[in-house]
Amino acid sequence: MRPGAVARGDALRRVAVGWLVAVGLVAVGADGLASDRAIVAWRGGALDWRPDPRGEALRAQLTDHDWAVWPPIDADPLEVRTGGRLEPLRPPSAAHRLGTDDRGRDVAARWIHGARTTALVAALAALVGLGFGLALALAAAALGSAGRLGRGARSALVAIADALASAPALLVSLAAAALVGVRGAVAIAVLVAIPRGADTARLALAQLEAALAEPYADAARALGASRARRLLHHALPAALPTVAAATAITAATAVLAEAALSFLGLGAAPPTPSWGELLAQATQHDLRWWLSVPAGVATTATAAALFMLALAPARGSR
Amino acid sequence: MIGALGRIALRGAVAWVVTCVLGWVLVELARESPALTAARAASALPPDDARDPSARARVVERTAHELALDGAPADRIVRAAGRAVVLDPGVSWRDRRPVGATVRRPAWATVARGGLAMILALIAGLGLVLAAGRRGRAVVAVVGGALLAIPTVWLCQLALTAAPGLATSATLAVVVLAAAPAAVVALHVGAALRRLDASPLAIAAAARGVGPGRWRAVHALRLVGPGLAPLVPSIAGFVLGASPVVERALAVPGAGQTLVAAAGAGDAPVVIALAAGTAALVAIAGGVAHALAQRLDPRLREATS
Repeated sequence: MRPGAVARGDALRRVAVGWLVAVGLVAVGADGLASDRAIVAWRGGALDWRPDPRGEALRAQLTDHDWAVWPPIDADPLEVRTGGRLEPLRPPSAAHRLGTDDRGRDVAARWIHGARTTALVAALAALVGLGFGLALALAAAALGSAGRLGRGARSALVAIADALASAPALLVSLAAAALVGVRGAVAIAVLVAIPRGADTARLALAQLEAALAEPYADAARALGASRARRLLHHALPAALPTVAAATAITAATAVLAEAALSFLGLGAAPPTPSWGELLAQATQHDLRWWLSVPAGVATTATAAALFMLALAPARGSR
Repeated sequence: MIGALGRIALRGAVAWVVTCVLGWVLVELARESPALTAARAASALPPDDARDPSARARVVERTAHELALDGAPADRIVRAAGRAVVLDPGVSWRDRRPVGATVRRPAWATVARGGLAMILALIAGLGLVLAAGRRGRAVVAVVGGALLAIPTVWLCQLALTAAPGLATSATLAVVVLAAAPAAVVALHVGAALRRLDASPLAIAAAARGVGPGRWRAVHALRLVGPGLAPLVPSIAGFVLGASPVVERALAVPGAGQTLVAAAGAGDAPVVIALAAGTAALVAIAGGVAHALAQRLDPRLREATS
C-alpha cells in the first residue's frame, strides 16, 4: 500500500475512533447534557446536586442569592413540561434547537439520550457476540483434535454455526422478538449477537485451526505444551485480529438493526428515546427533516465508524 | 446435474424444517401459552373485567382444541416438525386461513423484487468498479462504505425526498434494496481486482499488449466472477431481511408488510412460515451460486470432485 493511502487510512481511523468515543461520552453524560433538571443548585446556603423540583418550578424557587447550573439542553427527553403549551412537530428554534417531535418533546434531548440506547445495543451485542463466537470457536477447535467422536461433535458445531450465521440478522431479530414477545435494547442486542456471533465463530475457527497447523504450534507440542495451552496461548492470539474485526461488524449490525426494529415498532419500548424511533417518527410525519437528518446522520456515522474499525486489524496485520 | 439440484433442494428443505422447529421452540419459550396468544391474535379474548372470569379460560381452551395447540410443549413442537416436513405451515391464528394462501401473493412480490434487486446490485457494483478504474479506488471505498453504513430506513427516506413522485413504487424499492448489496459487490470486486492487478498474470497480459480496459473487462472479471458466489447467500439474506423495512417505509405491498403485521398481531404461524421461507431461499440461493461458481471455475470443480 502506498504511504499516502496508509496515512489517509490512519486519519480516517482516528476520526472513526473519535466519533465512537464522542458517542460513548454523550451516552454516559446524557443526563448532564440534556435534562430539565439542574445539574447543581445553590439554595438557601446549601449546594444541591441534581435538585428537585425540575425546570420552571425550580426557577421559581430561586431567589437573588441562589443560582443553578443547567444542562446545555434544558429539556426532558421523556416528558413534556411546557406549562400547558404543547408544541408538536415544531421546526428548530431558539427554544428547541432541533425542533420538537410529535408529542412536543425536544428532539435534541431525545437525540442525546438516543445515543445511550445505541451505545448500549452496540456494546452489549459486541460483548455477547464475542463471548458466544469465541466459546463456539474454541470448543470446535478443541474437539477437532479429540479423536473421531470429537471430530463428529466439531462438525455438528460447525453446522450449527453455519446455519445460524446464514440467517439474516434483522429477520431473525424481528421473528424472534415477535415469537418470544421480547422487546427493548437488551433483547435486540442478544438477538443480533447470536447470528453474528456464529459468524465470528466460523472466522475464528478457521484462524485457530490454521495457527494450530503452524510449525510453532508443533514446536510447543514437542516441548510438552498441553492441548489447552496450545489453543489458548499459541493459537488464540493469531485469531484475535479477525475476532476483533468480526466484533466491530457485530456492533455495526446491531446499530443498524436497532434503527430498523425501532422503525418497525419492535425496538426499545416507548417512551425510551432512540435514533431509530426518531427515524420512525420522520416517516410518520411527512419526512420532517429535523426528525430524520440528525438521527440518520448519527446512525450512519456510528455504523461507518464501526465498519472502519473492522478494517483496521486486517490492515494492521498486513 | 440432477445430483447438484438434489443437493440444493435438500439444503433448502433442511433450512425450512430447522427454522420451523426453532420458531416453534421460540413460541414455547414465550411467557404466554400458544393458545392464549392465538386467541389474542384472533381478537377472541373477552376483556379482563368480564363478569364471567372463566370465559377467558373457555376461549383459550376452545382455541387450543381448534388449532391443535393442546398437549405438552414437546408434543406441539413434534407436531409442528411433522407439518414442516410435509411443507404444511398450518393456519393463520388471526383469520384461520391456510398460511400458504395468506403469504403466497405477497411472498412472490417480495421475491421478485429481491431477485431484481440482486441483479441490479451486481450490475451497479461491477459498473461502479469499472467506471472508477484504478484511480477511483478511494471513490469506490467511500461510496461503498457509505451505502453499507446507511440504515435502510433512512435510505428510504432520502430516496423519497429525492423522488417524491416514486412513493409506493416498486422501482424505488428495488433501487433501495440494491444499494447495500451493490456496495458489497463493488468493495469485493475492487479488492479482488487490486490483487489481480498486482499478479504475474497481469504482467504477462500487459507484456502481450493487452490494454488495461481489456485486461479488466475480459481477463480479470472472469477470474473474479466465481469469487462472488460466497456473497450470494448474505446478499439474498440482506435483500429479504430488509424487505419489511423497505416495504413499510415506501408503502409497497409484500411479504415484509405481511410479516410486520403478523408480528404485531402475534400470528406465529405466518411469522414462522415467512422466516422459514426466507431461510430456505437463502440456502437455495447459496447452493445455486456455489454450483454456478463450480461451472465457471474449473479449480473449484476439481477441488470438490
